[in-house]
Amino acid sequence: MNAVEQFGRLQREAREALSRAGDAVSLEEFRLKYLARRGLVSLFLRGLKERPLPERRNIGKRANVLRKELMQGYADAQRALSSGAQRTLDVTVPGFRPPRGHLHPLTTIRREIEDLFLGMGFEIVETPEVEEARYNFDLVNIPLGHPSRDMTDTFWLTDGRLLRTHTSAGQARVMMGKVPPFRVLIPGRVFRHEATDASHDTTFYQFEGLFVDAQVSLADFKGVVTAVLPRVLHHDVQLRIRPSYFPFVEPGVEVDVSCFLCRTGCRVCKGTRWIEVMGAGMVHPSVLKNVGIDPASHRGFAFGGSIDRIAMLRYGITDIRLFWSGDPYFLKQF
Amino acid sequence: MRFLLSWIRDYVRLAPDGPEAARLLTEHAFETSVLPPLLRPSLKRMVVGEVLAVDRHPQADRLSLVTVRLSRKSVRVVCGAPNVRAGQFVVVALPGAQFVDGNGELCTLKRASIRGVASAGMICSERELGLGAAHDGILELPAGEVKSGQPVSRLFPPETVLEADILPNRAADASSHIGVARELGAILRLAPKLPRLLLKKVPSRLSLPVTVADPAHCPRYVLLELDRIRPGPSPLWLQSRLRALGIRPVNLIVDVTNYVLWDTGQPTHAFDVRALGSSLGVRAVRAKTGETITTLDGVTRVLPPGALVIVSDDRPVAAAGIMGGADTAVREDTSHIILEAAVFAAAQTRGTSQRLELTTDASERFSRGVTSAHVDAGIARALELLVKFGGARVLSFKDVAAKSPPRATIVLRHDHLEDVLGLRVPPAAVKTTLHALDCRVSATASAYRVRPSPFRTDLHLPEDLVEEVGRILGYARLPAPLPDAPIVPAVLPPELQDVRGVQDAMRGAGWLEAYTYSFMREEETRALKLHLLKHLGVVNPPREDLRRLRLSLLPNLLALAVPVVKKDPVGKIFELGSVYPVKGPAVTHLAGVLVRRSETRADDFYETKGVAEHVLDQLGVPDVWFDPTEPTPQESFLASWEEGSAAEIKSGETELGFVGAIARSVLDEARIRGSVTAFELNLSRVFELEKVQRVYQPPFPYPLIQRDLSLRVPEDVLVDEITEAVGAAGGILVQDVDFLDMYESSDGAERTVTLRISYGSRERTLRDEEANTAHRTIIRAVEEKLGVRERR
Repeated sequence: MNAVEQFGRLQREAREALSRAGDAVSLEEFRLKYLARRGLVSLFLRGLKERPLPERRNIGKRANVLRKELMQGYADAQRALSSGAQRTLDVTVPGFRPPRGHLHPLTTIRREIEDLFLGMGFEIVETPEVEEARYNFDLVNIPLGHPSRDMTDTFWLTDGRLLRTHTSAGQARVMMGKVPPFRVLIPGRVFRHEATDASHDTTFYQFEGLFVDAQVSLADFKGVVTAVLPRVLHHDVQLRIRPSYFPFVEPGVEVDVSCFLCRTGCRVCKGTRWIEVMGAGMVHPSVLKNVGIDPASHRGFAFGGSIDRIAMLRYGITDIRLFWSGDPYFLKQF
Repeated sequence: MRFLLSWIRDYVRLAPDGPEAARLLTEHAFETSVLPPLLRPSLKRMVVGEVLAVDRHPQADRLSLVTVRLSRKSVRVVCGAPNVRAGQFVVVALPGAQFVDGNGELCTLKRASIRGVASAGMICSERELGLGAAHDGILELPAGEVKSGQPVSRLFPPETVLEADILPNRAADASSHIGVARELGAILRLAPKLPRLLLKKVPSRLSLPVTVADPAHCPRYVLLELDRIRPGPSPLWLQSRLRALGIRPVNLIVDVTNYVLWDTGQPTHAFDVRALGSSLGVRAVRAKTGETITTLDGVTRVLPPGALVIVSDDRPVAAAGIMGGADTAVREDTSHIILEAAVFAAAQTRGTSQRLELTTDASERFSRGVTSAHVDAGIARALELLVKFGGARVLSFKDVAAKSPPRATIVLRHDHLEDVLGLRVPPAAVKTTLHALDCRVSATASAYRVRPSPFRTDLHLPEDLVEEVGRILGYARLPAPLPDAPIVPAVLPPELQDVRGVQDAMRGAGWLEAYTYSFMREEETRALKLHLLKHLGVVNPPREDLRRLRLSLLPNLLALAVPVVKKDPVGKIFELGSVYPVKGPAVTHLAGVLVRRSETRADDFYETKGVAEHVLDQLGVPDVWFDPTEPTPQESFLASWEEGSAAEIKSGETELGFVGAIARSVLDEARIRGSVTAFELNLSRVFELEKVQRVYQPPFPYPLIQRDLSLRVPEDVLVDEITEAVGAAGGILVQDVDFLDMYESSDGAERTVTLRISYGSRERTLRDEEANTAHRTIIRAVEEKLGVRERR
């Protein structure tokens, strides 16, 4: 820090301290800290000796003016106190605030989603990020050579395992350990080997829901998302369910919500007035068989969505890569 | 995949306009949108011209002077196209006409002289007319269909193009105009007029012997031999449709094979019989033979072993299902062909296409599956068009079909359908819907026996039919009840509660949460010497410097130091996330870095340590202490920490992590100026520890007496040792020992530690003298034991 900056800081802090000194004790503290023989102002003036001459002359003059000002102020304040009158505080001086930290927006949104589903009786379960191909593909009805393995490109690890490409990888793990009926939500980090751009990153967060019971229907799924999505998005959105394809569900659907960012079409809804937010469907009978549940006696629905995408919609973030940037300017806004 | 609305209307006459058709397909079948229309000139002041003569331009070798007849009068036009010939019919733009220029913008033609010769107009290319991209020559119109002087606006009606995202399960049946028309017809409940394309049997006396060596990968192989095909262009309407899909018209035979692909979904290929040998066959490429083929696009390709090829006299003439060979391809004068339509195995075609790095409209379809029904439809449609527009004569026909299992009948129970959908459906609607989707349905009282459409590859289970009925009726009809099942209250599992608690504690302390990748950045990893540890590697990393899964959160946090201090003089960042040991499950870690633009301060260590203590206290971890003796154990960071400014964090004997200043050498290697103080905790291990049971204690019944104790302390005596000694010497009257303050002179030589000791008794009110006595005993004891001096 150069002498000018140092002086500026000293001046700011000293004036602030004086204006806050509302009683005898704090006033004495002020004097000791700034005006005493070994106070900061004196020390600063003494320290100037080591500076080059032109700087010394300029700053020295200003520092002496400051010292006079502070001494005058101190004397005034003391007189005011001794005369018994309550000194008027400058109430516009900012208060002492405790430090304020920030949670990552994905933490916040993930918690909201978890809490909503907890409220509907869904247990929260975490399953591994480093996964076996069996769970990521085979048990969820994506056999070797299936066109679906083209849709998602996978990071493979040197030990033959992989980084899960979807939280659906957790479906079989969870269902194998449970006896229906059950409701489960699996949130977590997933990985895709694809080029990154404003809406794709190699890493993002998903949540996977599973609801298995003797009598459960696609209409029940619609009921659950109709209750949840407006609360997740904090907007009173309309829902649209339309056909889609995921190997581990049948029927398979996609859930759109009405665009709440525009009236006439925008970049987010690509002019369609609908925003895609979730994939879902009735758990495929083969998947139930794979995990030892008899599809004749139990059915279920499964759904999945991207936490990053919901966070982007909620906060109006247009570049998914910001979540991973560590940029304090970004992080401090949440 | 692109589709023309006009083409769909061949089959669904009452199909709605583009946006409505797109909406219906999206809501009932697959995501569809209307493509924005191409930039098109108005086509006013453009007429058909007949080229009468082509002469050299006197001033320029590349230009010609073309005499064109426009109805009665003839004009002279300067033209630069290489393909202009007498006898052609072309589009002539007259002054004032609009055309699309080289920048893709509309402009107006002006009367001009080119190199000293006045030109009455311009002969147009495809691009100039806004019909497509081609600009390497003028557009030639089929002679029989146009008259000179005729305005061209009617010849090129605008097309509405739909873009549909057809997912893999529907690729077989919906990758064609007939397939999309079938969907739209079913959705609109308009019976589509779909052609029954079945081939009348022709005596199979093909002159060439045909062998299919690998019927498992080519279950159907059909050849149709045709001759007397008139060489020449295809009709204008057919050309226009291909152009609208971005396909360049070539001649009748080639255009018909392309048209059939987009109409029926069946790729077909025409061989020029003159170039074929005396036999035809299908076989796999043998290993290590290095067989090659020069494909239609003129590229010579090495065929990968195992790939299917079409051979004539054992010489490859086509990469099966991908692209034909150049030397057996149809030429301008070809009139005698063998037309091939087949089913090639999906996985194999996909593999070959990937290995050849060659994707075509045909390979896309075979890769996602075509059926025998497609073959019938394709060959029949091709025959119909070649007879109608080319006068083709059928010579012979050969059908090599492997035995296929009969298509299974699916039994769908009506109550099952209603239960899965959660919707009441009238039985008649089920029948009509499945019917409209080309399935055969017979109903009993409570169930349907369904034979799926032969074009579908995705219908096997009752659930598949539930989807068909559900989506065609529309999911908008589903009610949205909340599930009728008892709710068992769910609570967050303890570990996730702890995770939240830790994040909240860090935030409350003023730290900023960041997320970083699970891949460790190489530069920082090496700076921290973490590359010496065994790690999980990524076979296909996202970037060359991200090929290890992280073993610690520190490298990526360290990487944030530079951008963080660019914005603020001090930054405090933490992350809670997984690290991935080579064996065993992932481990949850918490790490934080306090980065400072300038030199480190002693306070940085204590602040970082303090927040780690705060977190551990919050989690109820017992017996936490900081071990200065071995901050660099063998299993971890060899020289990551600054000597004398780091400690290992322990609970009892369990090692939980580290705190300290990152060594200068590490920062230099990672090119970080300023300083970084950090901590990292193994939270998974913390969660396993027995937590401190917080047992209620009644308030202390008698007043406590507090005495402060200031001690001058030599450098080598630790605060922990002093408090311990105080506790040991104090006896039962000491209720509490708190660390108040430490003062260190700037040279570090003089150290003063202040403690506050609380004395009290549970039986009675303690007298001052009793406290003083105890206090003096303590002072004597610690002075003796540790060589400290009370400071008065």
